[in-house]
Amino acid sequence: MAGSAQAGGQVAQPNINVLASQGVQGAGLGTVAGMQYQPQTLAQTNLAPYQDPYTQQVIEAQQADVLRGAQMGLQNLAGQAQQAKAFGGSRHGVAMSELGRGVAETLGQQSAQLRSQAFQRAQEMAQQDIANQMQGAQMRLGASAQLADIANLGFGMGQTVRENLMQQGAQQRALQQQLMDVAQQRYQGYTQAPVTSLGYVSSALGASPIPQSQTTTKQAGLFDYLTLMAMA
Amino acid sequence: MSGGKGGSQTQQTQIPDWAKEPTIRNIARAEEAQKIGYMPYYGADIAGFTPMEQMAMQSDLQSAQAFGLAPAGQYDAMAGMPQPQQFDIGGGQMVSGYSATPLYEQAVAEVARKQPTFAQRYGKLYEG
Repeated sequence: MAGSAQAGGQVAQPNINVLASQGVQGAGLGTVAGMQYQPQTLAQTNLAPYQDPYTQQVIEAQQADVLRGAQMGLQNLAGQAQQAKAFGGSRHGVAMSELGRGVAETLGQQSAQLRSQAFQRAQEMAQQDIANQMQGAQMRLGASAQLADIANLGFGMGQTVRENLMQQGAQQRALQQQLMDVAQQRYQGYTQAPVTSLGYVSSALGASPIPQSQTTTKQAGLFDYLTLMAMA
Repeated sequence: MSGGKGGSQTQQTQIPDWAKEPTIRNIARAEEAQKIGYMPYYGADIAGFTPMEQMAMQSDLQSAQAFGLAPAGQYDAMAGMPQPQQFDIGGGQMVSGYSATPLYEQAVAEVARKQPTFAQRYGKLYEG
């Protein structure tokens, strides 16, 4: 998706979080619409738009054909009646009446048959439309599911990128923190140096053999003097 | 050691001068070192958040806004955080971070205000 235009001609980069959110919302709405979908029934359908607009013309053309045939039949009857010198007679009248009844019957049957066929055809077309609508609803539901998957994928991608940013940033910060810690340690070494150096003398003395001379002084007593005199 | 009938005997250990002199000087040096008070570290203590971390945090905020978990608007993920100082690390390079020095100095001033007697005694240890 292209970024949205902003003031100054700048184009804002699409935000994956916003896209994911919109995807979730769109998928949710699509799913709800799918759940609420009520397939249309044939009984509720107005069949007028599906009727063949030429039905009446077809019937009229069929009737014209039948009537033309009937006219020819009447003319044949009249010719036959004249040859039999029975034109206008009762037999001629019965024959014409019989022909008229047959024509009327044919016209009624053909008209009813054509109208029935037209109605069935309209029902089939309406049924096809209902099936198309259901298929469309099914496709929209599938598209909603796909949108949900894409939104989920996009959100996951965004989170991964965000996690990488955080990790790399933390590594950089850790390096800087290490620099500060080292500086602080060295400063501690600096301030502790006088105290630390005091131990050097003790260490040197401890590591060196120090000859200790012992001076023994003796103060003579009476017994010492008596012993000395006895030996003299 | 008054002399009795048998007299008396005294023993004395002698430390050589070459060992005695450094010991005396070392003690004198310790007394000098003792006069130096606490010298705190005034440098950077804590590294600040890096731009990449700030971007990640901004992304979190945008995510929360996109899903209605935070109010919409121009919000800065670093809002409420103190502005880090820039510390010179040489070569014209800077590092961003925080120093605890101001807080430490506030604490020292506070103890001088609340415990003046102790603070004065403490100060006298290092006078002269």
